[in-house]
Amino acid sequence: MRNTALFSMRNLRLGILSAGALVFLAPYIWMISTAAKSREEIFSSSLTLLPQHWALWENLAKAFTRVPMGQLLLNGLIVCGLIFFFQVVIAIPCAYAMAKLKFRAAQTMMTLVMLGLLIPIHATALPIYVALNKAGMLNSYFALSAPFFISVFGIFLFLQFFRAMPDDLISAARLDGMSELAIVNRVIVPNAWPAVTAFAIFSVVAHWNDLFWPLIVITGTERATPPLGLLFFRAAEAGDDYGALMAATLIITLPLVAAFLLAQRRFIEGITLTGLKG
Amino acid sequence: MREIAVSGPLPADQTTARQAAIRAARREERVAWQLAAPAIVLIIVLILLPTLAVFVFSLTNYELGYDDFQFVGLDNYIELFGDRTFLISLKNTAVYTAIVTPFSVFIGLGVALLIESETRGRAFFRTVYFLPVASLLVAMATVFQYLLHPTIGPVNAMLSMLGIAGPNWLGSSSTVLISLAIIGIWQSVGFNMVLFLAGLTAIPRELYAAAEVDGAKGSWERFRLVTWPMLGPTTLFVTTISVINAVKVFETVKTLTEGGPNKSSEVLLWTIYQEGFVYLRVGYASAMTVIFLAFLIVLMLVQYRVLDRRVHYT
Amino acid sequence: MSAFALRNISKSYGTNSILNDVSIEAEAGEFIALVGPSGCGKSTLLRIAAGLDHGDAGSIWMGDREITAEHPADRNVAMVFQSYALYPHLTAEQNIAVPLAMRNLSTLQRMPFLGRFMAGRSTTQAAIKQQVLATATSLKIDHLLDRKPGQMSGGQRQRVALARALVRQPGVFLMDEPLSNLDANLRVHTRAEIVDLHRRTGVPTIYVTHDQSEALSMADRVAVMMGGRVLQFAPPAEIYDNPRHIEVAKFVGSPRINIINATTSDDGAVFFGGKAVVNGVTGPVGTLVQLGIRPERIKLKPHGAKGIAATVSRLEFLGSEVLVTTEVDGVEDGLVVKAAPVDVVHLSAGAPVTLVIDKDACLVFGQDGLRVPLRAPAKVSVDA
Repeated sequence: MRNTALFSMRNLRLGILSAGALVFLAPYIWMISTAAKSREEIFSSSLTLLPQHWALWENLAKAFTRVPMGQLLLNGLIVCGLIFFFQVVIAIPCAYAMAKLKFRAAQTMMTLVMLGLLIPIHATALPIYVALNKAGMLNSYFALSAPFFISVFGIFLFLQFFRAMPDDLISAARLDGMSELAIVNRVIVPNAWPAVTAFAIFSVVAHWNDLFWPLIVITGTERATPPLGLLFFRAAEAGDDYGALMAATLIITLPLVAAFLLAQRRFIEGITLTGLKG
Repeated sequence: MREIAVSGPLPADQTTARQAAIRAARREERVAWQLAAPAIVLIIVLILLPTLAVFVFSLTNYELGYDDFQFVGLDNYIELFGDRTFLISLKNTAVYTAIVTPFSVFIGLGVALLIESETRGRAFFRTVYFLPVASLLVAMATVFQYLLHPTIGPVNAMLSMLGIAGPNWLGSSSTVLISLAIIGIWQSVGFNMVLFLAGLTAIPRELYAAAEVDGAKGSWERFRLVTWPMLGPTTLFVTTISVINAVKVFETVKTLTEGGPNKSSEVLLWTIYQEGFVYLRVGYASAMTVIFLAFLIVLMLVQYRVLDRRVHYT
Repeated sequence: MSAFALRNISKSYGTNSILNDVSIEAEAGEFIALVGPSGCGKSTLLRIAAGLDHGDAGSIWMGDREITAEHPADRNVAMVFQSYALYPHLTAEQNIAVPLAMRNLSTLQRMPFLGRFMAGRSTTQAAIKQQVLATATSLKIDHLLDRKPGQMSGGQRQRVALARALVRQPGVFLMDEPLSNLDANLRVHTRAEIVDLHRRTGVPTIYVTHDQSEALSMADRVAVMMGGRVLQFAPPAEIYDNPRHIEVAKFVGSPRINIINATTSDDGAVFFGGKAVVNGVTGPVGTLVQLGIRPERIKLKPHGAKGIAATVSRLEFLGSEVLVTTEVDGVEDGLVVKAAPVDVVHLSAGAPVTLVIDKDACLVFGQDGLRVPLRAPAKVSVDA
């Protein structure tokens, strides 16, 4: 009795999970399927997943020729790289000072950080845009990345992480003759990899996917990031060639999804860590 | 400090120690400042000053392209509350948030509970539900546009097989917010799920054993007695994050509807974007931004208050 | 002139005094233990000695060189931390090499990649490698050199930490409870090893511990600290047999010393159980005093013998000895007696016994906790 009840409970659970999974995967399945279909087939609005005539290469070719897809991906990489580099280089020493050094401004800094956590880019976008405009620096990698060089969230995350590091380790480093900067470079950073990876995932996911800010500061495809490039592509295609459009979304979604699938443990841990700390 | 209060001349060695202490403290302070300086400067330049500037702009009639502007006091705010578009925008944002938040929180919780209690395929399901978080939202919104296409979209094709005439999901003012909300839910469930999973693993196993010994037999009773109360802080946190993210909805609106049809998907950030960066009415858009910021701050304050008062399990 | 000295060190945080005029010195080759309950200031004192912390007053000397104001790294001190504080990302070899690399390689030479092209780097590095290997061999950890701390046991980590301290040939060794993270067996074993290492190197050592038996068994001299003061600084036997303060008497020795409240009578005699157990206490008649008697200095006699009547309340068998807790009239907590197992085979809880106190062993403390001087050597004039 109990066994069969248990068995059916499990099956019910599995059933619900599987049905949900199918719903969650449906967009991806249709994206791939549609990217492989020809225009005519798409407009026949049949519900078949497998295309009758494979048009994947044509669609991919369209996606690559109508927008500089390589450039878009490269731009995304450069912008995310710049942002992450500066965020880490600026946040780690600051977090170390706040966590491990006696420092009269530490309390004020903490208030600043908590305040900063409340304020998203959407709130500061207008004045920063005005300033970049006045300086004639719109439409550049600098405009895309500079507003994010400071990550108060990064400071907060590293601060939590460093606080948990033993003070003895830093005392030992001082006795061994390291300067404070050397301690940061040779002791703190090499031991902060879990926090750095978690933050890297958080930062890259956020900025690779961001549309709001690139939309504001970028006007051409030359410096466009992937999401913005996709918008341009849609505009160029009048949004009707769904095959090519899906091929383009496939290309643009793939890098991050592939990275996620390859390192999903890290990814989920990273997001959980950063999510809970946020 | 203390030594100074002592009357009479100080012994020579006492001053050495004190001086060394002061020097070391100063050195540490100086190094700390040096290490924190770049961060401090950038926080001021990129966060504090712009926030302050938004407040100041909101009191002016500044428009980009015109160099002179006047202070107009609270005129922008007064205008805002007579602005039909802004009021619609507020209402739509509220409706969108009211749909997305409960669904994404409870589906996230449900999936987390199912995955936690299921031993088979745990990693697989976790990956599948989390996939949308790692996917480019603009791209996936485009996919949804195709899925929800009134004539060639698979969703309506399936509905018609069931004999239902599917609506014009993104094209009709009665369904557009719901369609956007569905995408919003789809996108955020995975994030909430992993936070709940983390919360669930943090619950000590002994509590379940204790609940069982105390006579909580069914899984519902165990949930009510242990899981739900222990997840209190996580739930509150997930809810706050979900509300904030819903209020910040922008990508899908920009990609799919641009506020239409007939302003029925006009949301706060879209309105701010239009006013500020398309019409370049910086002063007016700043006033909207101030309202937006006020919302976020109130939300966070509410969370802190509730955390202080109610959730005392940690 | 001592090899290493802390003179008149005081430190306070606000009105909270952490150290109060503390002086400790180590002669060449001497092993000093700083012992006291947690919060007594011993670790702070050690950090001040290392230069990681600074006092408000006092001076620190390495031989005739004052190092009060010097950087930790310039003091030529080595420290072994309770948590070992090994760099988790470096191998044992790299860990041990850090102090040498910091001292002997310039900043440019230490740079990753770039450093490789700096003149003289390879010769210095070869020398460092040699020294590290020699030190590691002497501590029998040469087989662990390419492991990281996470791949080592607690005892192995502890040795690597010792090696890192040793390799720099310091003027003084500072050890902050280096054994407290080891399990009991290993701790006793490592105690002997550290003492042995100290003998071989002859480097003066200041060793902080909260474990009085560790302090007594390892050190040449022990400083007992309480509430930021050194109550007594003397060789172990002196500390044990001749404590200058009741707190020292109570802290040192296991089981704890028996304390009895009493008053002085004529001629400075102190009566207990109807007998004068001490004579010659200075001060007026009727002074309240506390008598301290070590458990092993009380003898158990059969009921009815001459002595103090008592009742056994508990027996604790410890192997080589038995602790007998007895109830005695006028002593609130009773008296604990350490006896040989053969002497108690016939005893059980509730049995009446007689206690005989060894009068030479009675320590008299005043109300202020200080030892009360006796007028004459405590000669027994009244028969027990």
